Amino acid sequence: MKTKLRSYGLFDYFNIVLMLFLGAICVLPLLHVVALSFSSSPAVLSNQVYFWPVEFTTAAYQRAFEDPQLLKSFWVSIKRVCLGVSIGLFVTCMAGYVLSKGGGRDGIAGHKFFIIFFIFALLFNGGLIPTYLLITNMGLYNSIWAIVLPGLTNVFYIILIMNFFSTLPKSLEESAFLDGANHFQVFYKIYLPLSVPVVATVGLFMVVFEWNEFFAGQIYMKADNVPLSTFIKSAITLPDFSTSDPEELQKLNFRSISSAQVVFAALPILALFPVLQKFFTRGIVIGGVKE
Amino acid sequence: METSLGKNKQETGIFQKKMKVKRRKDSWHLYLMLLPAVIIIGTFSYGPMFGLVMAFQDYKPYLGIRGSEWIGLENFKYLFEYPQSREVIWNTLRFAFMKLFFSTLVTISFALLINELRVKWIRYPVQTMVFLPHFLSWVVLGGIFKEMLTPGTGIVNQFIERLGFESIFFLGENSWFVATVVATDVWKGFGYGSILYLASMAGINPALYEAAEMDGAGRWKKMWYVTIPELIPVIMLVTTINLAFMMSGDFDQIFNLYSPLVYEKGDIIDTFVYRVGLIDLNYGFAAAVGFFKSIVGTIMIITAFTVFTKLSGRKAR
Repeated sequence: MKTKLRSYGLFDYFNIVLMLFLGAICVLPLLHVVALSFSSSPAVLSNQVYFWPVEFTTAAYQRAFEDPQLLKSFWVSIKRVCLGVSIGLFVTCMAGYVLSKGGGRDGIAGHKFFIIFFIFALLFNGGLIPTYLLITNMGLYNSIWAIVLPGLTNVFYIILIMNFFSTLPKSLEESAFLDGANHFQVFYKIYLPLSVPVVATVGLFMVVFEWNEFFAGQIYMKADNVPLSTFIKSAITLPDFSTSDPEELQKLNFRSISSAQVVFAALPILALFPVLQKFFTRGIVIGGVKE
Repeated sequence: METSLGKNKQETGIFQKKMKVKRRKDSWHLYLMLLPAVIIIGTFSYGPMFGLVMAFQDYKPYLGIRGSEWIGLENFKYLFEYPQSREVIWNTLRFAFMKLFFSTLVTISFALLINELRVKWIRYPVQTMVFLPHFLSWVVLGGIFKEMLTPGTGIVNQFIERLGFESIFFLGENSWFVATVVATDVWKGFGYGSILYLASMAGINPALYEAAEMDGAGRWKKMWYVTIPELIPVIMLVTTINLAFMMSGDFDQIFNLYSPLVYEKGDIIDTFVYRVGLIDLNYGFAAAVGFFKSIVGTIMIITAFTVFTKLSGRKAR
């Protein structure tokens, strides 16, 4: 009560301004690029655009979509996210289930060995070159599996799921076992439904990773088969001067087009953002407290 | 597991027996369920580790690991003699420590300050806003920063010029590049990083604040003598994790922001390995550099966690 009655001091006003400023500098860069992408070429070239489109036009997007590679890459990315997340979640949750059983009577022999097996993979890795040679030697070059398979499961997610599963009450599965259920049924009908928030959080982690990752696409895929993030990376590095028509160049400029491409690449994440924010807050707290 | 055993004791012996038989019969189900993860981690994490032998070879792709000539530690000798690779190691460490220091500082300060925010309705929108950069990839952010930081046309430099200063080539000058990389990294991560601190602050026992108030503590003293000490275990935990993994994770950022202009101060081990290995096709040497990084990284992780468990064991979280 006492604190509520106290009036705002100088510090409070300073704090409000500082917080609003910090919030703004996190959002304004994106807003600026959105504004650029929707502004007319002369306005962009004369540096009139700040955080609101000047002379609104969608020309930059039309120009960006004229390149058939954009939609093609978009499709590769969609495939990658669907395959990577669905299979990845399945593999990760199953591993988490088994490891949450521990060793001994309930679990598997060699439980400790498997834990060390996974943890060591977290600590040490072969590095870029051996990984690259392994994947190309497996004949995965330019196959969607080259960018899906290596990222399918992440030891951190297995640990997260394992920790959550081990907090579920044992009596539930005991009674299921008595009713004649096997491990698959217990996993699928009891553990998964009870863990929706955690599984969804890990799923969203995977969606964001698969969507944003560009490097695997760059080294394992041919240029016409890359996911969207890789395409955007190369598109904004190398300006497209295929139109030599000066009028066309005047109407459109590289800055607007690359802004449009950047916004397009960020779009699914922005659309998911409200969901992501809610789940990630919960996920990081669960993960952090458990670790 | 102990508790379930205890419960079973109360049940009849027949049930217990049935369960035991059932369990043993079913344990192959468990192995089957673990198999996919073991295959994936085995192939894509352990497979490359065996490939590391090429760091000791003069690796030729057409000869393969079996056919290439063994040269012992030549690649590693080269790594420490070659001036560029020494520079790259220093750059990696410089970035890692600067990022760790500044991001910890900013994240904790932000969490403390937003916790002190009295106008509650501002809190949620601000938290949502600072959260956003975490989810955008460095490809997207690279595009945004290249646009914003270009001398002459970029919005940041327009602003600087309007204030009467000379425009700065943030991404093209060695000294400015380091600052830009650290600043953008802090910018991307502080909002997301603050969640854990805020969650822990929400969990602090209110009685502590009440007691402090009784003793006449103002807001500043409550923050200094209650909030921060209560946060120390979490700060230690987060810093340990960041310290442990500080050698990795910079690749995307540097790769999307740098250019030959700033190789001198901007090149890190990962980008160097990429260029030497996959662009110049000097596989053996690049593998040796990567090997070196993995070893240093592993030592960092183990040291960080050993120190952490020692400290937290004594302080009893």
